[in-house]
Amino acid sequence: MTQTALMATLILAPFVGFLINGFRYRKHSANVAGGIATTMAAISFICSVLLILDLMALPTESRRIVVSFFDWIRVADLKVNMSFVVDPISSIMILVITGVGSLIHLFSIGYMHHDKGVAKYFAYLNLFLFNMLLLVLGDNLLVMFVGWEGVGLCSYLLIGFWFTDQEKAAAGMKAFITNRIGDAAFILGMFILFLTFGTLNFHEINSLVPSSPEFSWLAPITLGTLFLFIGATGKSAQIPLYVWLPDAMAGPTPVSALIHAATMVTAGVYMIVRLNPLFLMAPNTLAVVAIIGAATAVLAATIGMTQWDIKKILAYSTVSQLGYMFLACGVGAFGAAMFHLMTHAFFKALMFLGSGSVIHAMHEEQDVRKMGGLKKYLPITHLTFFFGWLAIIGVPPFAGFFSKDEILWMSFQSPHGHVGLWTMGALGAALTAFYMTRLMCLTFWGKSRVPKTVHPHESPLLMTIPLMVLALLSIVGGWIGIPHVIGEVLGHIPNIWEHWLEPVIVVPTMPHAEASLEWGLMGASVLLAVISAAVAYHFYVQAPEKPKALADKIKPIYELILNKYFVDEAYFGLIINPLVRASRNIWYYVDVNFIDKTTYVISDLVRGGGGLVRGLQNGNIQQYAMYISLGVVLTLSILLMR
Amino acid sequence: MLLSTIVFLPILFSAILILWPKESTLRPLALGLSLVEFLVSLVLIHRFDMTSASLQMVEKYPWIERFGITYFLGVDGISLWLVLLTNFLTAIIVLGSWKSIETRVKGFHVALFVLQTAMLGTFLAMDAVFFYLFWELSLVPMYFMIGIWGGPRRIYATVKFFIYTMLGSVLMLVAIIYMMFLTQEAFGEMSASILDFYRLDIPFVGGQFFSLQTLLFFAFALAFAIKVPVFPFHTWLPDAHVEAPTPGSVILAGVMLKMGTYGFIRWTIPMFPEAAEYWAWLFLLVGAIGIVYGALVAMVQPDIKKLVAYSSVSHMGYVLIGLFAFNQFGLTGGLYQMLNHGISTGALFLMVGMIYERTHSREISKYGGLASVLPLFTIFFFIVTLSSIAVPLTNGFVGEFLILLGTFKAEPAFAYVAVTGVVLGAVYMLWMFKRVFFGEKGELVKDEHHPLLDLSLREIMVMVPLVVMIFWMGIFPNQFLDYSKASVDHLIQDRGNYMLSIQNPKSDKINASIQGENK
Amino acid sequence: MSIGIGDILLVSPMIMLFLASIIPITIKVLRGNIEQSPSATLIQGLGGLFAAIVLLMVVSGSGATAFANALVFDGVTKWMGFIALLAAAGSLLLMYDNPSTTGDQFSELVFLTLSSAIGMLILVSAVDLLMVFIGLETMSLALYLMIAMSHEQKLSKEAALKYFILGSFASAIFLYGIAFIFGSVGSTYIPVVIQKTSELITSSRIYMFGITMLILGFCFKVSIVPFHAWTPDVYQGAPTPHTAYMSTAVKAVSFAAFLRIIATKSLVGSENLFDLLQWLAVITMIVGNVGAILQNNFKRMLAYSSVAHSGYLLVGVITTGISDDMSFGATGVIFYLAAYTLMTLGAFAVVTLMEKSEETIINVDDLAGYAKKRPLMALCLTLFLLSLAGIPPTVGFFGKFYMFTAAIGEGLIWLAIWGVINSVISVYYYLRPIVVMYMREGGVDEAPHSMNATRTAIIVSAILVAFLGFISGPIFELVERALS
Repeated sequence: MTQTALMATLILAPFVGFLINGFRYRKHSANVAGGIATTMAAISFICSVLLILDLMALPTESRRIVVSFFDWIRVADLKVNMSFVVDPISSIMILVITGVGSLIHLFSIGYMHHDKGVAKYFAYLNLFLFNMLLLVLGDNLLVMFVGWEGVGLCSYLLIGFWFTDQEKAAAGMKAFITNRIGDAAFILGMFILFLTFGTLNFHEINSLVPSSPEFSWLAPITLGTLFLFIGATGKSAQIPLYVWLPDAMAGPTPVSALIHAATMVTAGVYMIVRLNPLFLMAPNTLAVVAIIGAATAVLAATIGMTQWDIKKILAYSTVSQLGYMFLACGVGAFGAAMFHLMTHAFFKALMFLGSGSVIHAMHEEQDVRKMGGLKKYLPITHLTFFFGWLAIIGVPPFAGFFSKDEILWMSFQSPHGHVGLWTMGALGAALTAFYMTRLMCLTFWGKSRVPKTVHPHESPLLMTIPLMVLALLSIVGGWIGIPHVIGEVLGHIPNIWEHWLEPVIVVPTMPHAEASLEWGLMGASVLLAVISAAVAYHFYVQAPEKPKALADKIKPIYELILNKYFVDEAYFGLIINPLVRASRNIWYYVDVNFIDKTTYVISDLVRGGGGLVRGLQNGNIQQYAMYISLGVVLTLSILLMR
Repeated sequence: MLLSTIVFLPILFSAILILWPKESTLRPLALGLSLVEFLVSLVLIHRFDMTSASLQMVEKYPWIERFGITYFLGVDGISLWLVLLTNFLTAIIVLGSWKSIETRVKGFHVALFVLQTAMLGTFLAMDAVFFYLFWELSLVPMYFMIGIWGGPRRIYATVKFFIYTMLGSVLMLVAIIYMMFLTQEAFGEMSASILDFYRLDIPFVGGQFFSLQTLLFFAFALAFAIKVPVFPFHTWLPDAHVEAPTPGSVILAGVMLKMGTYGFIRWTIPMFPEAAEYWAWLFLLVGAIGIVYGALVAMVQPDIKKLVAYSSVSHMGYVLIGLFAFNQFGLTGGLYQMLNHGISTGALFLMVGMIYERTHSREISKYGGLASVLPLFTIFFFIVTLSSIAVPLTNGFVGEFLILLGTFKAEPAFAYVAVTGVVLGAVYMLWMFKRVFFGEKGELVKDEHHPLLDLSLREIMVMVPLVVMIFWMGIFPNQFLDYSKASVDHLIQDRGNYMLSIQNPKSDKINASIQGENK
Repeated sequence: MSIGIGDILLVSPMIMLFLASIIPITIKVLRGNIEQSPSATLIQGLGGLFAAIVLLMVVSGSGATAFANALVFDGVTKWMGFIALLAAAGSLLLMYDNPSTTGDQFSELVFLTLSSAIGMLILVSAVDLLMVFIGLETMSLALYLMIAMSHEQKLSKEAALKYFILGSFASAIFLYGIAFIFGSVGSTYIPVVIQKTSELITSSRIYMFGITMLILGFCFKVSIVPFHAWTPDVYQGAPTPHTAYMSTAVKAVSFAAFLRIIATKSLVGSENLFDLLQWLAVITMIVGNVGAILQNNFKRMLAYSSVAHSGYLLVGVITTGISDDMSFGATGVIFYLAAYTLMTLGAFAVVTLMEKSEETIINVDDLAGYAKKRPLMALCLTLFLLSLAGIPPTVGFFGKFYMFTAAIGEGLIWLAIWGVINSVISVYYYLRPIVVMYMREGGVDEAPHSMNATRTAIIVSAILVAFLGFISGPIFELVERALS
């Protein structure tokens, strides 16, 4: 199969699936619809594997397969091709998307079995895959933007999937509009880059970037990258635009796993990594990225500690993990960012699906306070979730450990790094360990708080198989990126990851550091994690009354965090509601009352004149005669007197 | 003869309809006729030579020689697609009005076809007086459409519409006459041909308003600005739209607003380059204000149709700033956005009409949960919504992107304002969509007495062409842009002293000797 | 002075009219004061008119003069006479159908109409102020009688009285003016007067006084504000056919004389008169249009609109006056008058359709549902109204177009702007009847008796209104050539 054909199938297979399921949107059979959709996803997966094999065949420096279909917009010097590229960066993404995607499709068949709109559901899911592939494969910013908006659209549709519930519909809308704010910035970023470089093609832009970094805030690259980053904060749920992601949990759980954990939300990170040479030339932007990332990581983690809804906890955890990825980008550790992106995709998808399995078992119950001791009911779910837990809190040798450690190390050591960033990262890690352990305890361990009415049962194989696969990945996924220090010890294990990304990612020149330092930091972060995990275990299993007491002791802070720092309320109170009110007033006062009224005034004047004329016209002949004589006298006097 | 055929065929149609005896077969006949007209205009595309920026298929005969007024039709890359849009929408409307127009069916179709001629003439006439004739004529049938088949406040709305637009255009008439005398001074004999108007160089004094070119510029600009409508002359629009019957709104939004923007491209900007350049900031400003203002006001409308009407104000604001960005991106985008708006807003009005025919209400608050009752309708409406909020791969995106890019290139400040429209557009459309289609079933939706039926075959046939166009124009914009490329480049590059030459229909070589054809 | 055969030939149209006018009454006398059938009378009258038109077309246009330079037969005479006689013919048709005019005194009515037509011909061809006065009075006296003669009791009598008293008042002013002019110039022969103007206008107060009086006298005839007050009352009171006759033929010929007397550079050019006329024009337009807005009575509304149109026409007259070749502006005026005659005649004709008896008063609201009942007639009325408003492509638009073009050509831009703005105001009330006819439900009903003559008149003029504009170019040039 030629690469063009492969690329076409890779991208279009899900779209075909969308069309098929879309046209049979009235059908109810989950197996048929799911079967079609999953097959399509699997096909893309196979295609991507084949493509990547081709890619590997190429010599390292020229690892880049570009397939161009037609030129899309051609105006003056703006030439945008519908062209797609597979290179080391996008290769990882398509593997994750199609691979994890297929698994989640599979899982959905079981999960959505009883839903009436199942065909529609799978249609949307396929459409999402299609758009996501456009996003990551796009060879230029505009094609990427197509996917960028497309995935936002799909997430809108899927979050609001059960649209009869006003809340869920609202959540979907919130997601789309928040994303739109980012997209607007993204567009501006594109403009600046286009006017600077005269192209939107990634390859050309990266080849055109100046050799020396620019330090002014208003310099084009800095400004452009900043706008792009704002776009990323929208898509990847960073401060200040993260607010939509927790609400997005209104969608079906597999959707949360696919879109709001594994793939879409990482688009921002991906975009930055795509343009890493450009970002490297804008240190100011990098600083902003790093700080926002670290801040988000900590902030989200703190909120995660107080939530009771299992999916909300995972959602905030996602936000916080994304923060790590941006932190990595900010300190120039783009490889690490991608690495964490992948591992996170594994274990977070796993946990979401696991939570889905739990919710399924609990008959749509999401409150962890009504769970506990599920371990014995859901053995498989528990076991897989357990591995996911180990991975996310960063216990060696699970996947999360390597990627997170890489990030922390870089944020400490890289020229763009800073000890403060490292501290925040480490703190975040500790908090992560705490709230994830809390989640484990409340859900699976401890004594059961399950209502008598509910009888939890393990999910069918269709749902557990994906769990197992993902669990496996969360265990071994990290081993392709083992840091040198450890590699040395274990006997020259190469860091496959770095080699793979070498041609496309600029690795900042690191000042030399003692291995001991790296070991030390590694140990420190792990230790922190383990301790806080232990504390959490103590709190929620051994002494369940303690957290309450503690919460009461620091009530105001607790309240603040529990209510997510009142950010939503602030947005509504300070921006949205005033805007709506203002619009009403504008409409009423400017449109209806000012502009229209003025026109009325004019017409009234005219009518008034009409009344006047009519008044003079009273049918009395003497008066008419008087008008005439007056007229005569007046004119004569005017004419003759001057 | 092609252009004359295109312009005057509809008049012939209306004559046929007047004489047609049977009410029952009237609608199919009208549909057939409108399709014929559409096919004829496809021939126009076929014959069109996209490589040249000059007027093509010109027909120029002396008419009122005393004043150098000619019967002068011609088409170039700027008017080509507007002609197509007009005929496309007219055909769709004929089919779309089968339910919404119950009374005086014959009269309606007659008015519609007369209107079609007027609009086509406006786009194709290249003689100022001839153009003005069509421009004013277009008011009359629309006036009847709103006044006879309109809603409760139709009379107020239609009179307002008529007087507003007329007020704008009379000053243009004075300006036209004045320019005819200018041609007499400049070239020895009076002429109303736009080519001679282009050749005039009218003294321009920057900074002072009461200088010749500025005054003429504004005399024309006012007429077009009211038609567009540009903030703050837009208040006739919501009334007219809301009171007009569905087909009326579609034509009004789909084509008649374009007459204004077309006027800017064809007349105002090239005839008064310096003034246009000097006052560009003003139009960029009102355009940007229009975008935000229209969006904000649309957001809080209780009535779906009014919401769509205000969204037109916002969209036309985009077109305006695109035109006054004075670069290929802006102008191309503006042209494209004119077509997009015609299609997407036309579709929106049609669908609002469809739902109105079912429930006889447009109160957003009375709806809700429509999606579960009318899935098909919902799908179509959603697609059109996407086009309206400019999601990539729909037509709306291409236009909006180019416009913003052009504006950003020319005047970043205005682009920063305009880009908020991208967000606000999504806000008002999706909010409306949520309140109408999602959530619990509203009082109108769950009412058992008359359950709502999903789209009939006819309605699907109405919507499908529009949806096809939405994606076609979104995915393969070049197939459309290539036709206007030459004209756009010509307008942008030679704006300083813009000339149009006439392309000899026989051989493709251009006879640039304007003096030759002027006599 | 001796009267040659040439003079007789030249005035043959008037003689023709005179002969035709006495036929019906003679017959009536011979039949022992028993009215012959109205149709016969009508045919005799129309025959006379058309014969006169033919003769007029033949004899005039050359610029030949008759009766020792008392009358001239040039282009203005030709075309203005043409318009006037056509209008007269049209009005005859209306009178024939209208209950308040037809019947046992129809022959007298025809006689009076034709005699007033004679007066009109004299008026348009007069080049001596005294002849002008004679023409004016012949025309007016006949009109007074016509109006007074109507069967309808109160209103028309009152109207006739008003018209008569105020008219004689104006005539007095006019005559007074002539006296002063004669006093200062020593001649009433217009060319002489005009040629003397240039020096007298500045030097001689007396001359100035006289000329002003003259102009104001005319202003009354063509109802220029503030001398318009009679117009609404008389138009409303008079039987509709007469109103039509007045508002078309009388206006046309009065403007013709107006053109002939004052439209010269030395007069209008003199800044005093120039300002005066400009202001009169503007005020007239405004008062006319604004006054019409609140009128519900259809005839009254049309009366005000005719005042407004006098304002537009005055712009044309001023243009003619200050332009070097008066033919251009004059043609504009003539064409406008032709157009105006057509549409006004038509509009009034439609009104007569609805007059069941003498007393019926037609309000705009009474038209409700007319379009349903009589689509064709409604369409015609719509055409007339749109044309009055000057909406393309009706002939009314071209009329305005030519006149304002001329005005702008002479640099009277601000007058042109006043004109177009006023036509926007006028749209408001011209649209109202259309709104009522098409957009309101209602049971309007027409007069029971057949009105075929009127309908023919309506349809003919409607067709002309609709299509004359397209071929107006050649016509314009024809007239212009005839004038220069």
